Amino acid sequence: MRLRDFIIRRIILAIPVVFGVLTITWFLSYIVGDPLAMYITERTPDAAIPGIIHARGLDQPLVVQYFLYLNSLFHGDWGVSTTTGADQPVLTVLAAKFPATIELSIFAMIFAIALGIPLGIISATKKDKAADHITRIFALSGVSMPIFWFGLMLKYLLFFQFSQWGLPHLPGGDRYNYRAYTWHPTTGFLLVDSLVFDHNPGLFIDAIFHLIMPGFCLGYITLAIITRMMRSSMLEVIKEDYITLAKSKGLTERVVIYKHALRNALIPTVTVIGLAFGGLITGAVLTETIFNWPGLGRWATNSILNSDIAAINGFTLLVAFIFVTANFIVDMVYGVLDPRIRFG
Amino acid sequence: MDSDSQIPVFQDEGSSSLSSMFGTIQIVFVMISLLVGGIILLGNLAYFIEELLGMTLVPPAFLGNWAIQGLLILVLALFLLRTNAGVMERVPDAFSSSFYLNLFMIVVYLTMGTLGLAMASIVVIQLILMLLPGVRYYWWVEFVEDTKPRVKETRFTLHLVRKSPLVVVGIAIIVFMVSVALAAPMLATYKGEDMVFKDVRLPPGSPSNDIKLNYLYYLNQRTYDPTIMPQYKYEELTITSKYLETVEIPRIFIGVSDLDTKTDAVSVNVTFRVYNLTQAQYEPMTPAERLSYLYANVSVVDQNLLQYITLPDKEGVYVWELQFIAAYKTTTWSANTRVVLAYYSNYPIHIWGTDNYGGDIYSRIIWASQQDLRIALSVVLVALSSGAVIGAVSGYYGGKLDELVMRVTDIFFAFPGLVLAMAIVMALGVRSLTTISIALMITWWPTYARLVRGQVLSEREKLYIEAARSSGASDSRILFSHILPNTIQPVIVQATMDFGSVILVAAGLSFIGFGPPVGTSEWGMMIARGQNYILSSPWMTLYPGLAILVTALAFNLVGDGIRDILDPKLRRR
Amino acid sequence: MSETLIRTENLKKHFPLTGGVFRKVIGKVHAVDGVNLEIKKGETLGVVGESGCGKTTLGRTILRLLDPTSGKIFFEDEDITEIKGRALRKVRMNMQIVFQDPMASLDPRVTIKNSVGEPLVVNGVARGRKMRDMVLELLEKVGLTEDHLNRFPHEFSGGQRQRICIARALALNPKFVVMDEPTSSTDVSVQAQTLNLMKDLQDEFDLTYMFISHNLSVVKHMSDRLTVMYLGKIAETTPYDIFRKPLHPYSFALVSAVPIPDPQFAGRAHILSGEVPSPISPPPGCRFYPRCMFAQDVCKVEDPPLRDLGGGHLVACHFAGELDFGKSAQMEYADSVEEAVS
Repeated sequence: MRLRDFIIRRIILAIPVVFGVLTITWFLSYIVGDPLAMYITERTPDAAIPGIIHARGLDQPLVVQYFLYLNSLFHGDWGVSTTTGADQPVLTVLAAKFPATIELSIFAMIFAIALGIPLGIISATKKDKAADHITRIFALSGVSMPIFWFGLMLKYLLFFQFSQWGLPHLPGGDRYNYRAYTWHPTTGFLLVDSLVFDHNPGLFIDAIFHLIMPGFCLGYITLAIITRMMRSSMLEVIKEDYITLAKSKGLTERVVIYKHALRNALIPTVTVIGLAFGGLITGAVLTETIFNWPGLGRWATNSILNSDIAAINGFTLLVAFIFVTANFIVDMVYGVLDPRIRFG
Repeated sequence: MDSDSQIPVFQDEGSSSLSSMFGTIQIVFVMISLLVGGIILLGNLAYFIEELLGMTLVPPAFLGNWAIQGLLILVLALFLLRTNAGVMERVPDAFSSSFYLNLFMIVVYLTMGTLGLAMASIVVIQLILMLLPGVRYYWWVEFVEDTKPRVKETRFTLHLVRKSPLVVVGIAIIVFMVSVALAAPMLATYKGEDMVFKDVRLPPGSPSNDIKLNYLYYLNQRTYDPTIMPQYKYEELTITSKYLETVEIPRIFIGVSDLDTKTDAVSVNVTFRVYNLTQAQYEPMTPAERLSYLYANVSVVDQNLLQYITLPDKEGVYVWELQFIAAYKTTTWSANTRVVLAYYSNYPIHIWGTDNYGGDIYSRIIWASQQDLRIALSVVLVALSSGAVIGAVSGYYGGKLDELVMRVTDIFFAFPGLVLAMAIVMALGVRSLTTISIALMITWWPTYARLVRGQVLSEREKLYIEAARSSGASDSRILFSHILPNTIQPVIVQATMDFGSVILVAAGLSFIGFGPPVGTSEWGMMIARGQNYILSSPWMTLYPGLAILVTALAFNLVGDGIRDILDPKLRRR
Repeated sequence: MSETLIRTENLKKHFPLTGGVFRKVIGKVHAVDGVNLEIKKGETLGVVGESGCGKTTLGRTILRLLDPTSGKIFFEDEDITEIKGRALRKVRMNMQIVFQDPMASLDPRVTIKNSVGEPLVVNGVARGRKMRDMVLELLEKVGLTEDHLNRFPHEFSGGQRQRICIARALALNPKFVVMDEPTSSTDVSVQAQTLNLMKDLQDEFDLTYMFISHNLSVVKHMSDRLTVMYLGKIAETTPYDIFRKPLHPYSFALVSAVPIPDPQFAGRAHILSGEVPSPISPPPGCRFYPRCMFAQDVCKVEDPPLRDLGGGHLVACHFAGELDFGKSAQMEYADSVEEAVS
């Protein structure tokens, strides 16, 4: 099967998934409460409610309501969220909160990749030696770590205790120091805005410092996953004949590992990285709550606790969309990286 | 066992009265099991319908508790029914299957309280009967022969386990955590929901600021009862060294109050006496004789309603006695009076400190281990069994069904687990541990469905499946005796690691506020409680988090280790 | 001897090939494409051919492990093409198969006793102690002992495993056994042992074999008659020594490719040019013409039928018997050996 056919097939297969997700969110909004709640807030005048019910077709049969719901979704009308304090359309809030989460996730991912791949290589090349054992326990702790607890402990040590001891310490939360700097959001990505639009290097450095702790906390699980995957795929590759051949040609260990083995060992790791990116968004729910990060995750948690159905639906849909896209890209990349894969 | 002569010649039916007796008893027993399982299942069904309709049918209470057991018993009994046919024909296979089934039955019954104990003992009798020479003759040799290779394999696996230190450590931690959870009532110094309000946020190792009231006797008389007056109430009181450790002055208080007005304004006369006697000595004596052994006595009369007796500060055995005398033979005092006999002792030390409600962190962690391990167990078991069945069927039969199942799992995979679980908890409405479990079961089964399906697909193409098919084996036989046993290993690995993940996600859920109601001991809730006090009292967060980390790590260590151990590539050939 | 046990009529097995966005069937693999075959009671029919020529598929289709696309299969003159369920199981008791890879054809988690005994149990022949005794008897027939009963497949060597597979195939006392390259995964010394065992068993149990292999020498050693397959079709079936009298150009090419243990005759193999054409779109007319050195125009359009050239020697070539292949090195070598012996 050719790549084009494969892509088309994958897109077609993704359609029922997206519809399933839509249906489930609609269904949930029905179980959780009144679907009307998506479109009204406490500030909606009572007199306007019958009009909204009629306009939204909530007096229609269920099937019609379902299609009306889909219709309004496709037209960009995702309901009204109250979680942020004011009544705002969900899409607006999503757009506003999205960059913060993405910035954090990308930072966490960079950190995880930059540490995880070398650790995995070390662990594989030093198999069953002390370095390997330490790396394995480090990686296993990563997947066993309650991320919210880890965040709290990091905050306690690096922020509170360090400042108690008079040491330089990291900030305990937020995206930047509100008192010292002002930020004029343009793209929503603080790191980009501060350098490109605000020309404020101080803010940029401040933002980096604010990213370190939540980024490390969020990235630890991914780091662990990447390390483990890298180790096992590296071990597989090292056993292959062409590595033995490369060694017997007299190449140095370094060249063999980094030039011949690494490339092939990276293929499964790339898959994992892609899938883990979706997982980062989940992790962000917990991390953002702890570090007071004004992103999607914290907003979603608050909206669920506030029974803000429109917001929950919006968040779920967005995340599901990211997941589906990430899987899709992973499949593509896999095909490109590994010429043996036939798109079957 | 290894020579032909030891294998007896196949004999005809009826040659041993003992064996036919065994067969008969077996049939009777299977019928009883079917009945018990059926009744329990019906009872649960009744409960379920009752809940659904919101009406009250009130089936007997014991039925409600054992839904899973009831189902298992029913299934096992149906299998036993089948092996019975073989037993009647003296087929050695059938005897040994019946042996295994009975063993499993005992395990199921043992989880079921008194009823189960009674049934289990019947099964034990069954097994003993099977081992009598008259019956054993028919099957024992084959049984041993069949079991040997399995034992050999198991021993080899255990040998590999012993060789990998991380797995051993992991198993040790798991065993430790499970025994802590089981022995929680003994290990925990406080109850899970105990709150000592004077002990708010004490650092680890602090003694309690409060003293605890221990009741020796407690009477809440709400209805008029003429037989209560005048009346004696007595009991033996032993002062031990342990008692003296926690009680600084062994004082015993007697108090009387009015239940309605909550005041002391009661017209009563209660006399409290302590004798220098053991109960055995006390009982045969007349009241007059007892008086010579009287250690002390106080009376609670009318307005003077709180009195105490101080006992000597050394070990000894006493009898305390209460005598109720109504001053005026009216109905009022006995109808609304509370009589309390109590002593004060210190609360135990808070080894790991207390939280902001004065809950003891150490005890709460121990009680929480019960909850968290139970969630993990139930979620993994349900998700695994349902996911495995769905995955196996869809993988084996393929076609449209397979497409459908895979699309459904795709949808589930499109949601991040935590978010979906959050949404489900919200949809279910009730915040409880059960809700969390259900939400996690719903989010978790697709993992197993995918895993098992993939395994079945690869296994299905193996030559030995074709060999089995060419020898005439049916689909169900191929699926259950060839494919599933060969797919089980990665599933076991996944399940072991998922124990850890479920604990993490469940804790995460309750951390962000989807947990059980306030006050329940649960690790995630404890961390959530501690996060606001992280700067002043980090111990509130530290210890429960460590408990989660260590438990999850243990499961991951074991899972990671047995992945290598079970890897067929690494096993001997 | 002359009674027919297995007969196929224009047997076809095509595997669908899917592709495109909707996984539509865009073609089919003509694995077995119109095979007429007769196997007589008590004989061994050898089937040779290159890998991918459909010989294994043919074997499995005859046993109904694969459902034929069209054509008919007869077992003892009974049409078994369409039968299902109980009837199929009953027929299968008489037809068994030994697979190429003995490791893969034994369930790694089942002891030898239960593996070999499985046919007995599922067909209700014997259970428990009786099953054990029967299995033991079978194992002893193939040269294994009681000690081996309760072991797992991984504890055996390749040759032993193959013998276990043979024992399993014989458990139901079948009439017909398909040997699907039974010796290709064992080394030569074990191979000879196994082959001799098979011959002995054939005499003892009055078996009919269909012996599939790509190794011409082995097939020749085993078979009474020999069938050469090419691209899903039979090229030649001969009761004679194929080394001496190949009539199809493909058979000749096969024969001349057999290695000779004498350097004097080596290097004269008639190597076929080109690749085997894809079975997805086999060439029209004679399947062999793109590679045939004697190809004529007629070969491109007309598919040659299987003709009897006397004595049951069937050849599917327009010019069978008219072609002069010359003397192959193998033939010369055989002659020289004979000379040396005499």
